[in-house]
Amino acid sequence: MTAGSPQWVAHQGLTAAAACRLAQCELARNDARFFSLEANPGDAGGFPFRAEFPERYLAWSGAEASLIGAAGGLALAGKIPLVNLFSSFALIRACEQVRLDLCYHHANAKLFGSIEGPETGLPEIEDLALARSLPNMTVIAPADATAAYHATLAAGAHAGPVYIRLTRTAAQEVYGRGCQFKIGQGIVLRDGSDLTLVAAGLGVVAEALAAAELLRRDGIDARVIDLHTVKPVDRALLKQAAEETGLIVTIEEHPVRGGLGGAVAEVLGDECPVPMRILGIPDACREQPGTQEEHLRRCGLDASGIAASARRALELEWQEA
Amino acid sequence: MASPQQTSGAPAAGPAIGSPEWIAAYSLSGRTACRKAQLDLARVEERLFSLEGDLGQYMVPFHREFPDRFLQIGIAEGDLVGAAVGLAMRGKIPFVNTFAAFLSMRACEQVRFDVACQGANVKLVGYVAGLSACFAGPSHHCIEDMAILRSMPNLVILSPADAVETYKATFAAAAWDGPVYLRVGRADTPQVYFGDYELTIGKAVVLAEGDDLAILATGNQMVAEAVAAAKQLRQAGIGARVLNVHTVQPLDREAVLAAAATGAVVTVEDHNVLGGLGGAVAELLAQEAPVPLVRVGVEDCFCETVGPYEEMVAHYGLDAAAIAAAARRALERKRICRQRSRPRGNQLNRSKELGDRW
Repeated sequence: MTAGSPQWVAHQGLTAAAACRLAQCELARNDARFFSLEANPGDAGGFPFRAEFPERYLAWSGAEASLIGAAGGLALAGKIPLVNLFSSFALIRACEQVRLDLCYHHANAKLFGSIEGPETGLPEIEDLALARSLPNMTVIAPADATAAYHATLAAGAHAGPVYIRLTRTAAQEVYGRGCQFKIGQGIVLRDGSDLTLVAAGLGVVAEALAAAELLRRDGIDARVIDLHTVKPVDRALLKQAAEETGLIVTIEEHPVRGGLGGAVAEVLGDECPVPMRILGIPDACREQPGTQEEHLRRCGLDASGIAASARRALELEWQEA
Repeated sequence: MASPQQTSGAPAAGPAIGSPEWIAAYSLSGRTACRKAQLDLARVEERLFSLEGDLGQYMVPFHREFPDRFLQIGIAEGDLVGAAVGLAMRGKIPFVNTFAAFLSMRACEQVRFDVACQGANVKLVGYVAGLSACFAGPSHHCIEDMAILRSMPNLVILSPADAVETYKATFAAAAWDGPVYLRVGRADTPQVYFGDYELTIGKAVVLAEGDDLAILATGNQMVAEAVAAAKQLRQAGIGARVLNVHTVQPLDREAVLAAAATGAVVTVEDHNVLGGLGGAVAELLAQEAPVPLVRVGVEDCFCETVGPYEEMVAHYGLDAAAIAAAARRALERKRICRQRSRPRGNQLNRSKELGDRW
């Protein structure tokens, strides 16, 4: 069983955060430039980076601005800091440092932001919108543990600042048969010609695939794209999907403004204006406690919610046609 | 030279305070107009407080007239916003005055959790937004604020076009029940409004009529550039409707959809082309009225060249010439789209095929 293979991830029953942590250890073994910088999450996932590379492990408890500043310094000195922290503190508390210490210098630092999810009382956040507005930033939202593993390796090989969005709850598997992960290139998970479901992130990509299956039972043929890189966005793939299917539905566990939906809407306006729907967390749904599953259902981001929205949108388009 | 505060005691002579003539008479900039409006508001509204994050007060001595309602917090933006939220929770109406970059990004956490999520009645005034910090460089430039704040709940985002509108917007912000972000430039930008008009939060203003395409602009200098671009286009026989979108959130849905009916839209902002006005308009158009959209703004980069504001506006492609060129691109794409037959994809066949099911 090779490290990072789907069988291996499944065997280990890894969460995305843990898979990412393993990939970080892997990177550090092969290249002495990699450092691990930690805020609250600690030596996450039970894979001790600290035990293996004590001299390359730095912990700052709850001082995110300093942590990002240090990462910027290490990066400018030729190291590659892997920064593990909560998304809300990475991009919101240390927003200015991420912008000026990392993005402005095109610093070769990687941010791994975990989102605790609604059940912990830490509310979901606007990380995709924030990260996307910062020049030079690459923004990635992997779909499952296997994708998170490969996204981490790809980020390690990529020059410049990268933000990777993770959740620490176990997500449904998407890449059971392996994952060819390339930054900036979306993955067509399922071909289809009636409409395209574009999703990014843990949980929702699997739900989009399940929604496509529900739609198939109604005779609707939905294409599904995992747009794991939210910035820079895969313009060619989106343009092709717009031209060939004529209707796009985006799905993200993020507020409906400025995230994946915003990125796709901007590309469609630029390249090929076709009707689209943005499915995300409506303002009214924010900050209600519950498990991720309950939360997705409440926001209409589960398979049946996505299928229903897609059906409504399609019906409307066909009426007009 | 007479300063604006000297006029306030002598209403008998001269133009009415806040009027376009008054702004013109003293060549007031947006930032001074906002300060003056806060002072005028404080005279009639005793709940109003002015909090300061170490900006100068731009000729308007609020602290002298209302020392008990003026707080100089200094370069501590997190505390500044926190203090304002505390005041708001006690029923006051605090105005927070500091750099847009430090308000939206250094105090991002406080703005998000304390102001936006709680819906606290705080008025955040972000000065020197966009590239208007000029020589101060990228640390003070702020092309991300609208994208960041737009994703947060409950916030109203106002981006007035000139000093006249900034004065009005300050009053409108004070009267609004809930958090408001007011985006103000620094440079002495051109005056757009010379006649009186009503500013209503959430209602865009049509500045020029035209049916070939629509230019949606927001903020200091940008609206003036859009008006100038429309004039250039008119000389070439192209009718461009110009909208001043002073409220970026909530977006004026009706006005934007009416603009889309022209068949092509250009957005103009001194802000990143990602996530700001362009993003907001893209999201609305894609979902309700898909038409070609060209977004004019800073092309997702840090500025490596600094200079006087007008030079930067030209260098980064935000001036009238660049807007007119963008309008021509939008028109060309409109022409191509109109040639293409609808429906796209395989909708027609499929709708026949599946028609019975539904």
